[in-house]
Amino acid sequence: MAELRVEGLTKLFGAVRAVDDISFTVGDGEFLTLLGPSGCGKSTTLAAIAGLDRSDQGRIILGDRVFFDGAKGLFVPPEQREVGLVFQSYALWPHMTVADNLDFPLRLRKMPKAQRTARIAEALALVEMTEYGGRYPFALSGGQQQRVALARTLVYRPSLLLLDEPLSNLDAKLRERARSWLRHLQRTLKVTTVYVTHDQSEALALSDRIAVMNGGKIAQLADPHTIYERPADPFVADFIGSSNFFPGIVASIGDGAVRVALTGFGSLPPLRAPTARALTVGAAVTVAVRPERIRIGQVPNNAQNAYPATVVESTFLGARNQILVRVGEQEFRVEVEAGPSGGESVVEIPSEACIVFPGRG
Amino acid sequence: MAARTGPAIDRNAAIQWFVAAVTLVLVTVPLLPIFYQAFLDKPLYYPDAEPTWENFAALLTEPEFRAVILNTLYFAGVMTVISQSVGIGCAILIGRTDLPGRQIFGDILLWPLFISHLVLAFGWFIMFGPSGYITLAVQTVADIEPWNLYSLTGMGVVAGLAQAPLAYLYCIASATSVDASLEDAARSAGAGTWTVLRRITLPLMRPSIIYSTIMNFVIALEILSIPLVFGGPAGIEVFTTYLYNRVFRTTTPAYGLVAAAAFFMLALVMTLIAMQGRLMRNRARFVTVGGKATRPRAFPLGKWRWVAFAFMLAYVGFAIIAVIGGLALRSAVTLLSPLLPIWDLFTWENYEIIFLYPVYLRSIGNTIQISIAAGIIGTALVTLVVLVSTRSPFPLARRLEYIAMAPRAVPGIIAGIGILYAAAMFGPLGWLRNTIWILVAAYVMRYIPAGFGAIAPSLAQISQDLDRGARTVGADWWRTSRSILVPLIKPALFSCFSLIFILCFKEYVTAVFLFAPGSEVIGTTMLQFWQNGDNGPVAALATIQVGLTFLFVYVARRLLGVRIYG
Repeated sequence: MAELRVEGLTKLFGAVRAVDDISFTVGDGEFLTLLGPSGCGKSTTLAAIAGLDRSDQGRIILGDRVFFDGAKGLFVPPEQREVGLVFQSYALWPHMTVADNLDFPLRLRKMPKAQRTARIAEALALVEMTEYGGRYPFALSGGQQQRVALARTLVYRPSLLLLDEPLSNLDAKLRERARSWLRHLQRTLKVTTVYVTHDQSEALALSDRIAVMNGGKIAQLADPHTIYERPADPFVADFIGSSNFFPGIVASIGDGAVRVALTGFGSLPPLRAPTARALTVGAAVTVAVRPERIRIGQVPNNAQNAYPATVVESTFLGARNQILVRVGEQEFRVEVEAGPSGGESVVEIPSEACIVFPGRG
Repeated sequence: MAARTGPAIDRNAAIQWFVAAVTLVLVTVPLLPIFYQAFLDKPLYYPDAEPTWENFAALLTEPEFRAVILNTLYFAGVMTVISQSVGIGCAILIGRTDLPGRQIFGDILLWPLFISHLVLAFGWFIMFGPSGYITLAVQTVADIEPWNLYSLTGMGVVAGLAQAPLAYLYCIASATSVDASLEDAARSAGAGTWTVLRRITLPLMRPSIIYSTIMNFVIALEILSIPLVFGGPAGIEVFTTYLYNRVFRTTTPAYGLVAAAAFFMLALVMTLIAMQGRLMRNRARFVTVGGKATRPRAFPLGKWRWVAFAFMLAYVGFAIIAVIGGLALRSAVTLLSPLLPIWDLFTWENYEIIFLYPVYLRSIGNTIQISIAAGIIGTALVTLVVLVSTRSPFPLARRLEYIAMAPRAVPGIIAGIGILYAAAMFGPLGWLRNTIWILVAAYVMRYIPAGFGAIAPSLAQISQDLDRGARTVGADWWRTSRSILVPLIKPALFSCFSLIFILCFKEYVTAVFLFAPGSEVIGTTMLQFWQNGDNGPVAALATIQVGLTFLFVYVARRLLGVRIYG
């Protein structure tokens, strides 16, 4: 197995910088997810690593092999990279049986027949598809096709596994099962993996580390907990889970926290929010708070950041209720298991749930 | 894990460049000698030929040539108007109404597309010519001369009725794929049947109407057989017959003049084809293929049902069945006349002539051999061209597609003259001269675009992920093409072969300029019989050609499941 290094990778589509000078390293056996909305450059990055797309600048190195070096004009075609890529569409060749699909990469490597048969059996067993070798892809369900697609890349033991939204064509129930199965398989094989998705829950559940991408750049690269608890910017805060954004002005600073006079809160007391950032009094800031962290109704008397609120609307989401409340002239969302469905109430925005970003996000 | 490295010389790039080079040579060989000759004062094989503008000056000052231009435009205009109105009318009647028997009419309308224009021209001549069977029949009953096909208008009408199936073919697809909800929306907004047809259905068909109109106009400029058969005796020349007569009917062929005229025609057709491409660019405005396919409902014809049926029956009966059937009838009699009972004149003589002389029999054998060879070579070449131009990292991929599509703008007559000149100019082509291979090469060149059209759409439907997948598991471009892409488009390859086979089987224009003793084809032999006034053998050969074509189409459809024109 090997370590993947991407350095200063840039890909232009005309004047658009689809991938804009990004760098990251995926450690040996690590599971890294490129997460972002469509058009953020995650799939372009994956295609560049696979060699399906030629980038404009930067370097891609796997172990001791340089796949791409923009400055030297070096480009290794995909077939010489020994990389496995699982497509969103699975890309199973419809004119070949499952076994033939797996056999094709082995034939290309001029492997003797006995060894090929053994490898195919092994790979099919790994994805629990042993009985399906003689079937054609069209006779398989989506979940089975996905497993075969994975087996087809694992069968030749690539040193790097690339997964391009492999679960997005499965229905919700199956997706969850496939997710934990995939996680288990990757931990067992310890293959260096780059996973691309736009689904944050997949990313949080599967990854050792997540690179959140936005506009061709990496917005934040960290482990799932850090990404969720301490998003680096408002984009990450909103993309991972969801957030309310409160614009305001820093009113005072002290003991590792700021007090922010929130826009629309009128004469209500400023919000206390801890921050490590160097801010000055009078600076414009945005405070991000996740809706599920805000409390409504039963609020202790000595609570900090407690405000009188009007319930505007309550929406039943099944396990939870989403309540739209108004404080002063500011409306925001609160998610609770149970809460008032109308009238006047009180909300608490816990200090530790507040994340302060400079500027008017 | 051993890192795999490629060989020193990349076979993928080598194959891609080779395909591009072959295509370029094939497409330019017939054109370059024409460009060259048009600016030379002597035939191009003279070593002392000098560059000159004289040919164009001579051409433009020749009064005959001006008449030829006017004739051509008038003829093409009449033909286009007739073919488009009949074709579009048929498309709507068959595709969108409750016309009785529309299924059968739809099938018969496609027949003429499989048959050579030369055969159709002879068929019209035998049935509707000055002493044609139907002409004489009308004359005996009504004692008037019902029509005169030895006129520009007459030729235009014949050509128009012969080409209407093409307009039908292009419009039927768009007529039946109109999104039903668009019409239903108009209907619920208060529009009646006629208004929906006029304001919604026809405008949505506009791309195919424009496309087929230009196509038919171009065909009108290119068509040789009808002006030759009907215009010849009356001394009416259009562009094609002008070129034909200058090459064959003069004692000293005027190379420079012919090349200049060919150059002129080429420029005109290229302009039209470029215009067609430009007009097709905004197609998205007319794209009606939505998420779900809903079949549009049929317009009820009501009391017009049987009027429309009569119109359709008359067209199909007189312009298709009578024309093809007339040839078969004529081939089996010594004389075809409404005044004499047919059974008294029955004979096998016309067929005996063909089967007793090896020269005539050979033209049938040659036609079959050429069609098979051109079908196989053409399909192989086109497959490679499509793979390189749409599924490879070849740096000139887009340009290769343009070059491959260029023969669309090269009329058969120009290709014939061009290769004739090329053979005179380049020594190496000499050995090809008396073999069928010069025709195979010419045909392959001419039908690259048709083959491209048969293969490219089906390759475009194969997800790019399938070849990308093969690349990542370790197959290079060539291996991917062979093991993944070609097997997946196998049905399209059969269609491509069948299409090229049929196009070559009915081709005669290019052959007229290129055939030599030993490489005769059915078309050239028919023309020879016709020039000698032997209408019986002409009809017999035409019947054989039509019979073999229908046999091939039947076999291709039944055994190979091939869809031609559909």
